[in-house]
Amino acid sequence: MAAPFAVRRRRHREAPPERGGARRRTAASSGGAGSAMLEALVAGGAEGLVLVRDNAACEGRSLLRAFVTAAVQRAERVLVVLFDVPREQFEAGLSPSVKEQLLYRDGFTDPLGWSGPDPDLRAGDFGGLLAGGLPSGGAPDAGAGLTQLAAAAPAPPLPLPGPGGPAGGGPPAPDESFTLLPDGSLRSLGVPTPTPEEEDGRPPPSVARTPGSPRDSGGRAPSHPLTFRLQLSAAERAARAAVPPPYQLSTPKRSTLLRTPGTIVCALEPPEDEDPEDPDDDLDV
Amino acid sequence: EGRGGLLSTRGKFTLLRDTRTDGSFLVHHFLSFYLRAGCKVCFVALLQSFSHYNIVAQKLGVSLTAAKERGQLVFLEGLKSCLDLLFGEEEKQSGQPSPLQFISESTSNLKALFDFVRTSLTPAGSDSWKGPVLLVDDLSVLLSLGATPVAVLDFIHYCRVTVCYQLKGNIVVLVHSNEDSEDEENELIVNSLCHHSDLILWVEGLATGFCKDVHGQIKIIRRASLELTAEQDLVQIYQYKIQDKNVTFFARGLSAAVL
Repeated sequence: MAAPFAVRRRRHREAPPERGGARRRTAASSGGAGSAMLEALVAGGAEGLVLVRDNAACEGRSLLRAFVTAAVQRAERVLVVLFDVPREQFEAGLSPSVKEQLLYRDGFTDPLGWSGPDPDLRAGDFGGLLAGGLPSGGAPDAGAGLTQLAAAAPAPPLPLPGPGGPAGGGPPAPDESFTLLPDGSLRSLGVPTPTPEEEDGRPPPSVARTPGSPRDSGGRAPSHPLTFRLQLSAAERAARAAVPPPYQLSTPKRSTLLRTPGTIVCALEPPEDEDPEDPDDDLDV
Repeated sequence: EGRGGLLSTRGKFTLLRDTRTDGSFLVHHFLSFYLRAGCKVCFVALLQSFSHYNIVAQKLGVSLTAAKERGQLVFLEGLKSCLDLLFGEEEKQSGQPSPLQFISESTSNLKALFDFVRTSLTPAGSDSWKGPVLLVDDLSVLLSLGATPVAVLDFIHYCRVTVCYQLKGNIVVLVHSNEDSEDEENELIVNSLCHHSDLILWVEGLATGFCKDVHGQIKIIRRASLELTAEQDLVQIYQYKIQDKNVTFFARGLSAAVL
């Protein structure tokens, strides 16, 4: 049994727009070794569950459409279960030949039965859908339909339990870039060459990972860069914690202070003889 | 500035988001904007009283009282409804359940609120308004009133289905958010709404603190990635200053006070 794959969409930094409306995106996949994993996945090499995890800054539905297009072209039956968008929005951009091959279950319009009796797919029916409600004629592509998770903050890839196969339990495969062509298919652009910044070990500054992008640690510039740093680095924080506050006296110093009687020394200044016309005495007359 | 083109694109979900500052000036803008455009507006106003919104709308040239009287504006005054619900006598609840009944009833979902929105915006035969609009100020209050995040997201989902896709209207929702926030439920809702929004107006206080001449910064994110052509999201950042009847926008660092 093959280990499940996780594919995570990430915005490639400063990607220039390509011709024809296609754009370059980056996917990080884990659970296997070798390059061009994404092409292999799209070509039907995946077994089991393929999870596409995106974030608000870089949506993953177009990748899902690429999987769907490829599956239809392999003459597989595809069932699309809609929860997030209506059918028109999901099939926007797919070619008509692909569209007419897709089967749909609508969990978007009325999942809780609020709008009336007899919705197509109720929220609780999903288990029943997978268990017995599939259309006849062979198992459809299991990867279709499920889109982003509710908590979409980027997270490190989940460690995948590999049941013994060579593909399981390995280190995460390197990020791959891909472009979505206007007809909905996917073209892999391979592994992007690391920039000098990346080779230093620092991750590249990501352009708006999510609209709520977390604060960078180590004091790097946040999404709206300032000319000074507001956050403390870990070393600075440790140094600050190591400084004793001035009101905390050590025991010998405290006893010295207690023993010393307080005195007030008042040194009176001699009476001034001010010249009313030159009170500051700085005129050069 | 580009916001005038919103009416030409129907069925859009606009998210107003504020961090470390008050984004309600955007709510006042959209309220008067849609009323002046002739849309039927359902305003779920949970944060302030009717007279508060009315006073500000009058400065912007719109009378909410008149709009309510001619049937253009359906106004749910959350402050009053909550009080009536919790302290009102039994006779007051005449037949129609209160839209905010989740506060006192055992039902944990916001179906009553959704039914209120749907009834308000479903066009009657004699209506001649240009498209329905749902305005919510603000969604974070529903969490404070005891709704679960799932219930709030279900409510927004059904509003999207009905208002955006079936009635081809627009939705504008204000939420608060804070990157340092420990309110995970609120951040969950904000994150989910960001996925579904066609336009995000994110208003932030300046990182350096209060300034007399620059009240904050607004990030305008047009989610072109959701469109057919799947372009990248367009992000524009301006700074702004709120005046009595107006808000001026300018490029960052180019406030008139420092030029």
